[in-house]
Amino acid sequence: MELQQQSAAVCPTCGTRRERTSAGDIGCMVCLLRVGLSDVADPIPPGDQFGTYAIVRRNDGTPWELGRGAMGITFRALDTSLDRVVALKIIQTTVAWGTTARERFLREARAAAALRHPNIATVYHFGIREETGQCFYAMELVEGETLDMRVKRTGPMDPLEVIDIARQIADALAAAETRGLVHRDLKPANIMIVAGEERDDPADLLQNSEKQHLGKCRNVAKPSLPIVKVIDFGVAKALTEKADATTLTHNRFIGTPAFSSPEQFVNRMVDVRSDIYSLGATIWYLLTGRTVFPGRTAQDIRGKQLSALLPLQQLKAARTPSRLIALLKSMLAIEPAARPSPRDLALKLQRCRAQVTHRRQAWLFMLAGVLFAAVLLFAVRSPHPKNVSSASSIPEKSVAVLPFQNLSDDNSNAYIASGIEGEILTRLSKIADLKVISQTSTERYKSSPKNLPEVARQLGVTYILEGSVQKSRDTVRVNVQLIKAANDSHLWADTFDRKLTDIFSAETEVAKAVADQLQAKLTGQEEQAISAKPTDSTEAYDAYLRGLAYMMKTAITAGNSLSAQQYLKEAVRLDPKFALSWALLSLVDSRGYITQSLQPTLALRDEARQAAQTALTLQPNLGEAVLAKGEYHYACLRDYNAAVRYFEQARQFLPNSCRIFEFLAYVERRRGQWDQSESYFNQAERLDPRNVSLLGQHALSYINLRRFPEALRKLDQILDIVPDDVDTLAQKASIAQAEGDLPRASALLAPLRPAASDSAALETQIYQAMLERRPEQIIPRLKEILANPDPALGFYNSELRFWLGWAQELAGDHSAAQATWRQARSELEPFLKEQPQNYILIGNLALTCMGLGDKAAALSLSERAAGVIPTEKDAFNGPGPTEILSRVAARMREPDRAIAALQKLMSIPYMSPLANNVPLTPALLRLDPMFDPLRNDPRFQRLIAHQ
Amino acid sequence: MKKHMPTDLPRLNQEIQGQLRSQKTEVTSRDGLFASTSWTLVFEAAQLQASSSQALNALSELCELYWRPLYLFLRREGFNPDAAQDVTQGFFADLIQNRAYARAQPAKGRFRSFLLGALKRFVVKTHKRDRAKKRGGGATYVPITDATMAEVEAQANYQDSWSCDQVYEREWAAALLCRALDRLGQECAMAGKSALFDCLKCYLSGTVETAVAYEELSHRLGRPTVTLRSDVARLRARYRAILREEVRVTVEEPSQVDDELRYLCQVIARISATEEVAN
Repeated sequence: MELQQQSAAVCPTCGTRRERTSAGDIGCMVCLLRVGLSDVADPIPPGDQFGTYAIVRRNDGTPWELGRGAMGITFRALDTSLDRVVALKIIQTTVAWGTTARERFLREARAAAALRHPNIATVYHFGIREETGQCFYAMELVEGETLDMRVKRTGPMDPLEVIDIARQIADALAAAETRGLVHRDLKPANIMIVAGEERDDPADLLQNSEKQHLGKCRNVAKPSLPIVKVIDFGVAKALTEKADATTLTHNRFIGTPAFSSPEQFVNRMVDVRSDIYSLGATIWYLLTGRTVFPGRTAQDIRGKQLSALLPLQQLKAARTPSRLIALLKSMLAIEPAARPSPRDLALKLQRCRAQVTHRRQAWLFMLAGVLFAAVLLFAVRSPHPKNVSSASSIPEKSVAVLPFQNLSDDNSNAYIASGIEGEILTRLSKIADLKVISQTSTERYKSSPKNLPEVARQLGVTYILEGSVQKSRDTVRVNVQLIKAANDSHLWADTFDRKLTDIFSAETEVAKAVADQLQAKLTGQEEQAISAKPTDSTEAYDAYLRGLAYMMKTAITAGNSLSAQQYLKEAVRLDPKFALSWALLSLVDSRGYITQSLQPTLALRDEARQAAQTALTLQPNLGEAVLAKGEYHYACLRDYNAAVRYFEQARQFLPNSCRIFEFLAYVERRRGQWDQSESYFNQAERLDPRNVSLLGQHALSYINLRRFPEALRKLDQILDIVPDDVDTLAQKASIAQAEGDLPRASALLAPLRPAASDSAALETQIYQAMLERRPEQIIPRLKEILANPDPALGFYNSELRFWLGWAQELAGDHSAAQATWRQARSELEPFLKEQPQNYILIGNLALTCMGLGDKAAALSLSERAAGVIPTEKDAFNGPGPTEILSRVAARMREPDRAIAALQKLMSIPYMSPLANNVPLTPALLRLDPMFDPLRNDPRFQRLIAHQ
Repeated sequence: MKKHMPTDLPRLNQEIQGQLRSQKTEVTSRDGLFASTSWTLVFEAAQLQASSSQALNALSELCELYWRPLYLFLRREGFNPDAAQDVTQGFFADLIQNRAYARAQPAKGRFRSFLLGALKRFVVKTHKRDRAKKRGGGATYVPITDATMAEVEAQANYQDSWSCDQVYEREWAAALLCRALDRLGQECAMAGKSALFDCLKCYLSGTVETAVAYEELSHRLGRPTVTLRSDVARLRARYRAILREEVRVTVEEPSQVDDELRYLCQVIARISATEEVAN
């Protein structure tokens, strides 16, 4: 109880004592008064100096605060006499003021300044600002991050790294002990970690021989240790001044409960063993990301310290070495006497290190070669370490809109929340001065995530907009709050109660408020764009929101496209002047046409054109309408020049839309401008870093270029976001196939059981069986699927039937294969009448005819497919029919045509129409049974031998 | 917290109260009151032959609000509880009956300073006139409740290490805050959100320690965290507006509000430091 009173007696923000007034307990009076100030954010009056130190201010004029705690606030400052940048800690007034307090402070500061150690931030100077009586001290500015920040940023740390850090802290504590100093508040937030220099430590991860080997290679980074600096030794008490032993804190608790030793809670005399306990608690946190004994109050923590057992399972789950667990148990002993001294600790940590390195060395020897190659490759490809979302690269005016929470009783109203969120985001994305992250990147997060700073870091933004939506009849309540993610502080919040027809005004107000809070400059056109009211019809807007919700789903499936199309059509029926809905309908149609998630008929193409044109006629400056027009030209007409013109035009209205860069990447890819395409992909990913569809397409580009290591990195990036994603795992397997590593492909594919609709994964499994020449293992699965074909899959069922026929043929069941192919042909031909320009369908029919031995038809269809989509027109899909032709020609005993086609294919990037779209490689030519007729041809052998 | 502290105020004598009651009807709303500052009203009243009812209303309201700082100042000056109570009430009576506020010069100071200065002059005057006589002029007053006196006396004993002026200024600040919180609480009560206000008022200061427990509060109140954040932001914005209104009443120019708030922050911080040394 005593502790609680004490800890509550001082305001943690301003350091003022919190006492009862005659008006009752009203909290911290200073903080309550400061709320009324118009400039509450500025704790330092402009122009103020502390001795020779001037507080450095940021560009916006605010003091450059480095951190704050119960003892004071630390600023970045300039020593004007030495022209040196320092960290200036200004002690809270309650600690500093008064003769006794000043003397105490000066004594502590002297003790701290006398302590010089490479792992302790050096104190340069201490002083008192006479005008205000504020005490301050200047110390070495450590450019890095605290361990607390590090764990919050990247999660629990590797045991070996933790041991290296702990060894340095143990050294620092040993040095402090010799001077009788105790830190008293050792914790992850008081330990800085900075990038280290190269070092030659015999205990390094790599053996000397390996290091020498690596050292000979240019651009290969040598291993380095992070350097640790313990900060805030300014509160240390000179234990030798025994007369004042109890006056350091005025019987008040100093420290942070979660990392404090048991003796600190009861105000007993503390020595270095108290710091050892705190270091143990710190190590625990680094290894597990959790505190040893969590608790809401100091009393909770104190109680658990005394009564609860250490939750060692946390350490085991973190794969902590057994020796380190034993050492932590001793460091966290209740009795100080049971804890190791700093020097013992250093020795024991060294033994722990040896245990870890010993285990890893065997593994390292095994992987040394692989590691060498990887490091070399990395050095060549990435001269600069990648740090996509480092704090320094995150623009200040950047915001992500997290999914809005649906608070309506009826779950079917979820589309309202999603729609309003999307609309706010759309409006924000029209402001060029802001970086706005797309919905596809944010939709996987919770509405109110606990780890806001980490979410913001992943998204590369400074601010997060959270919200909730509640619909009751025709009234909607929207709650929004803008949060600065770094410190989870609330910048702005508001609630809007609106009729559904008037919801646009709320969306506009939110967008304007966010822009205002982030001090974004709006042009007149932007202001007009974000204030636009798209429709007066409640029903039309409701239908639009439903359509938008389907449109924003991650996967472009037939179901999502059909639902989006249906609702958007309804919206424009209800309000024919609803330009935004027309634009969206056109986008859905065009996207469905090119991805074939909607049947790619002429009627669909015409609907896409008309919808885009109507939107533009109704609202010529509507960015979405211009975008839709461009998408129509790209997806339906393949008129890339026109498409790019429209996209460039749309960019003026939608400066933050990743979709523009994404579309431009697709256009350039089809034009064969692969480098330019990659550049656009990178720009799109900066705006939408967690858009798996975008990442998947980027990976596909690398696959088409046969840049498999880069493709694999992108695919791994996707798996970080959507672990165990079937399509991504199958894609990785297809790369293994292309590299001739069938066991690796098999290992990836074995756990997967894709449905018929997971076409890419299923065909990769089928192709694997062919490459392994074990067709019998896939035949039952194909028969099972085709026994109950899904009509919604259209001609794809017949494509599977072609594969079944091939498997049967390869298995030696010629008659069964012929029967299967005959059926496939009879199914495909009617589809061709409906979709005469569908080159995939034509290719399937060509291969089926090949199986049936109809050489003329097979060759004719192959050429027809190539004519539908010439490579000059489409460098991405265009060469696909040539691969069909090479296969048909090979099987039909036309080796010259087959070889010519293969020679061409092997020299260009392209997307294969078969299996998982991986282009032919020497390994695939070597393994693929369809090319068996060419095996004795020297030209074919040269192709196989070619790397 | 109670608005205006109606029952535990050292009441003015019946005559003055009747005068105020009849004049208060002219004030129709707080908005009307705050249309111009109390300072302005008092100053205008001082220029008139007859007391302005609006000025008297404002003055009486301010006196109601600030009797504690004055009383505790007197206690720290060495007056015993009875004498301090007597002088406080006599001071108010003098202020109103003798139009002492006519001497107020807004351009030269704030209402806080004016009131303390006036009290100091009143003490000197009454001391010279009749040290033995009751300082209130012998008027009949309604006594303060025992409970209130006990509470205020406890505070008086607690503040014995501070200077007289520090006591006064600190209590002035506390009264301001109390008033602002009180008004905010009333507004919430009218909106049927008293329970929510009780839970969220600790977030008003925006200190680090209070910014953590939204989730826990969310569980307790069955209210989503996002909504709570929004509630707090709205509450804080309203509190800020009310507090500035309350300070605005006591200064001449709107531009002085920040200076007055800063001054009070410094006063409290200094007192806090004094306390630290004394301990």
